[in-house]
Amino acid sequence: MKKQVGSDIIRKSFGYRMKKYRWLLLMAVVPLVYIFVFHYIPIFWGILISLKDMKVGSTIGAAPWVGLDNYREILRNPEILKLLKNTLRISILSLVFGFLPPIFLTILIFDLRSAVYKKLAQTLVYIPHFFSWVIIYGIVFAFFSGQGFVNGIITGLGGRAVDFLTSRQAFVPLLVGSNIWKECGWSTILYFAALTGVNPDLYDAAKIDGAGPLARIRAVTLPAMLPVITFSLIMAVGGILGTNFEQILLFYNPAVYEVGDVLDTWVYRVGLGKMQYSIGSAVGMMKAVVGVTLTVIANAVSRKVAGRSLF
Amino acid sequence: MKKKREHSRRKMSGQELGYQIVINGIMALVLLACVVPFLYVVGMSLSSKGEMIDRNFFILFPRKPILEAYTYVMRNSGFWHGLLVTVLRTALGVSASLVFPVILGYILSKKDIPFRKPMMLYLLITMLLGGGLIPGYLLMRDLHLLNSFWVYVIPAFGNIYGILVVKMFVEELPLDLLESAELDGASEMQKLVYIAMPLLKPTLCALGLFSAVGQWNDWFSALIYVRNPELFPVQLIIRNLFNQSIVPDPTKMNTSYYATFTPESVKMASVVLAVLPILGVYPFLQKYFIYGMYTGAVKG
Repeated sequence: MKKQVGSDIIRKSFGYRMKKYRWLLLMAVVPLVYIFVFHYIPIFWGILISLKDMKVGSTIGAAPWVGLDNYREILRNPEILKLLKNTLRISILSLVFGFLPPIFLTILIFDLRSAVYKKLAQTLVYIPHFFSWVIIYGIVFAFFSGQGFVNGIITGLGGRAVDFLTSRQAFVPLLVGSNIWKECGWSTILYFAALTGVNPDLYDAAKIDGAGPLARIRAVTLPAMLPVITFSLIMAVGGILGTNFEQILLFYNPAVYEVGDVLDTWVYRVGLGKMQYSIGSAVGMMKAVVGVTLTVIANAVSRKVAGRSLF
Repeated sequence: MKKKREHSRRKMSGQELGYQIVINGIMALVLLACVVPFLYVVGMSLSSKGEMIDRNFFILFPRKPILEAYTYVMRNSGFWHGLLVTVLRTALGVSASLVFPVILGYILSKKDIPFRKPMMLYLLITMLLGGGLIPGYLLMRDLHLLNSFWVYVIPAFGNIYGILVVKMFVEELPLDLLESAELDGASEMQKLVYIAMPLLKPTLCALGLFSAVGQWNDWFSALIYVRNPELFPVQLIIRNLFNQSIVPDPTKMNTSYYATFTPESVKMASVVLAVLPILGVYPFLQKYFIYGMYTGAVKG
């Protein structure tokens, strides 16, 4: 009786279940309609607008159909190619430089002897995650503007001040670096969750076997983290077209458009700002389709390789 | 045997000791990297123009701190009004964000409810695919939510992630609890309100906190949807301070450099003021955040 509760439930007829759950189903209608309006209508509109020529002031219904013209124009436009390059550059560099620090930090905190220090470390490294991007920009400004901390050091040593915020060379490193500062600590939680499942006996056994700290990390800690590491890596690859829109919007300025303008910011500035709704929507749609495809593939790979998936 | 093992745990080998020294040292550097930026921002916000010039902007602890920048922020930039908008939208937005998770999360936890699979698919699709910026903007326009306070609150209802989290948690509640209530003649509604809701309290707290952080930190929806400065949340006001030229009070122009502030210190003062509430509540709420993240991460 007790062993398989799930299979004991006899599937009742559809009519019976409709009657049993009529009030709950009725309650579900409001959220479902809401989700239709706020999530599905924008998707349909996005597709429609990208296939039409929306002029200023015209409505979606009245705008003339143009077929795939908007998409053709995108593929022909060298500007879009540049945006795509910038997008990929920023996300690949974020991945390359941002992926290992949280893993490293997790092991560092996990191996600390002092419980108090451990607790303090965890408390402090999580905090930047809760700061808004506006605040992070403020901090970056304090350090890297023409009259900031770093320039204080440079001029103090007899060098010439550099305005890092308007420098093309410094822009991507600033994005990547500030993102690591904000999220590195918080990302460790995912890895810590994996380590809570480790049997402590394994560590004792490793010690009895005479394993030093590094051998212990290699033999016990890392293998325990590996499924999560694989999972995050694959999902990060799946999300490669998604840059941190809010962050870039705050950090960039006309002086760094050449390297800082990405698909999202272009849709905002040109599509929305200059009311190029149709082209903007087409860019958005293409990005969404590629993004979904990559995520679905990444999810399938992760399920297979890491035994862990988002859905 | 057991005693021996405990003994060996207490006494570190030389190798282990060396390792501990190294990681404690690295950890100290990491913690400095966490704290120093914030200290520097505080230091800048309290520095006078004179001190900034003397010390070449390289100030962690000002020798003669002044509060002029703070008074400027509080008096001039609509800061208080922005804070009020932020507090209101956080309160209402958090409440809104929990409504559908409770209702739909509970409903979807019923294994035998009709249309369960299609409803799940319907939700999952929205997590994968979105319409993007422009259709979203046009929707808000057509719903007459542009330039309205409600543009902060109404979209908060669409907490799909919350729905899935609550569903997962109700599914894990002890089955006999709900079943015995059913035998006692409790309706589905009564089971939701009297049995599931109290048990979901920590989950709802965690979800509510995440949405509170989102509301508190949001400036982007105001940037797109709102033109009226009266409706700007505090984050957007701070962001705009960074793009504005800041002119000190003309009546104080003649006072000493050591009594006047710089535009930089005004910017930093506004950053400090926006961060203080987060730092104030964080120690008390940390466990809920981590609880939420752990459960989300483990089951994810």
